[in-house]
Amino acid sequence: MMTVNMQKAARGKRPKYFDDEAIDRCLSMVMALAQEVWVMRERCRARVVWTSAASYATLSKLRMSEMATFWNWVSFWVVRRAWFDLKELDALARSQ
Amino acid sequence: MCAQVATEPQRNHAILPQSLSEETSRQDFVRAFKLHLAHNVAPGNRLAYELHAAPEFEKSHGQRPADYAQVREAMRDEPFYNFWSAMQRNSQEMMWRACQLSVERQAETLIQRYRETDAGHGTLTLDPELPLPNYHKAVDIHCMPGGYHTEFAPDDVANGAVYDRAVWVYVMGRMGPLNDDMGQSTVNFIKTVHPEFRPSRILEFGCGVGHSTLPYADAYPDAEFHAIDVAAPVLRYAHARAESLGKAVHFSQQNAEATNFPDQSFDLIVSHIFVHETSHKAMQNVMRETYRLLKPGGLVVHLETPPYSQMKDPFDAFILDWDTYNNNEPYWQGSHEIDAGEMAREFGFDTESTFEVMQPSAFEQADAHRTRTFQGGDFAGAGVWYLWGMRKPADVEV
Repeated sequence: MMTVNMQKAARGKRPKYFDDEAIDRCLSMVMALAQEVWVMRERCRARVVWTSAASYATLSKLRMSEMATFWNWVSFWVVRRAWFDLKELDALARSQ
Repeated sequence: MCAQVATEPQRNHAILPQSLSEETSRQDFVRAFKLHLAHNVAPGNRLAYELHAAPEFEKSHGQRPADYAQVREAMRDEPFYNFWSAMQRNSQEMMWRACQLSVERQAETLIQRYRETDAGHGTLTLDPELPLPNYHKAVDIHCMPGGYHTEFAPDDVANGAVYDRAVWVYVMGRMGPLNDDMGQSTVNFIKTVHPEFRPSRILEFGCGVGHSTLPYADAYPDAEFHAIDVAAPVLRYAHARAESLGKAVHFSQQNAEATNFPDQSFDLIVSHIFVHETSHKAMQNVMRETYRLLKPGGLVVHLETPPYSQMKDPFDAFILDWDTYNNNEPYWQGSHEIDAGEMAREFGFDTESTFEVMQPSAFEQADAHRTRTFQGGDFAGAGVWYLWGMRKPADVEV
């Protein structure tokens, strides 16, 4: 059985987005963990599907709802604070 | 979220890597991540620009940013923009890895399928001695580890397979089940503007895995169709894919700057998102080679995203320019400043025939889910493609 190990990182300098490079690395880890959480949720959901008598349409709706909830969760932890700051500032500017 | 975009699954063919459920979940995550960034996070950049960056720039410079370079200067230290950029870069890196996993697992099978390809519709000619251009070796374009060219095993097709699946994830299914929207859209343009045009020989530069290639085989079934690329792994994959789908294409490993085709070999030369992956010097050579290869009156059409000069708001050009600095696309900016008319004049084409058009995407089904903007990670989001090209004068001596 042949094993192929592909190159994992792209050639070329990776840009820095934060003053402290540790934050760049930390964000990558958070997103990788979020991805694994989603994979686990999908596995749990698959078990529910196997044991459920619900229709395909109901289960599809459930998946869509789970996906929306999941992204709200990710957004809350990862981007919402920055968004709130901008929206508050926008509201303030408009009120003036 | 991703299910709202992919209206039907990617169409299967003999060499398409198959994903296990966990691999599909990882790919779905990236697709939803990109869509979430495009729809829910990216609009914050405009807000940050209008509320913080532009007023600050105006205070220090006495005017609002006038072009995309000044917008970049204004946005350089904007926390929200840097945060979005970091997320965007991560989504790109995660996309490649998510697609690599299933390819690594099936590499042996995929290589075997390539080796067994013998449907006999088209051909494949590789040239192991072909020098790889520096613009491919220096960085891995669009952050794909190994680029199009790296071989991880004998007769390797791995990065062809990764690219095929990753494009589907990247554009969130909006380029059709065969990822062929760019080819379909260009064919639509040619058929509409030149209904009488019946090319007998067609050439595609930088064909990659052949996503945009196959629509021409359908549109002009009597034509002899050649497609070239510098990278063997994607060509092997393209050949196996085209054969599996029953299309007659002659693939060969060649550099578009200097091919081995005789003078005046083709009626039509096309490329799709090829120009921005070359270099300024290479494009000069490509234009010379195009002129040499076209028959008198022959047509060349390149598809790209729009040049910055066509964007009314410098902020939009700045967002489109993100790839230059963040996605290993060193010639992205230069290619978006190409002047088609100037190219025609410089290389002897018929200047009257030069055109620049915004061509609607061929796939209307994904229309409702587009963002209407060109932005990193949302390549097919705007629903239109920029086409530019020209004709070789018909009165050139043969």
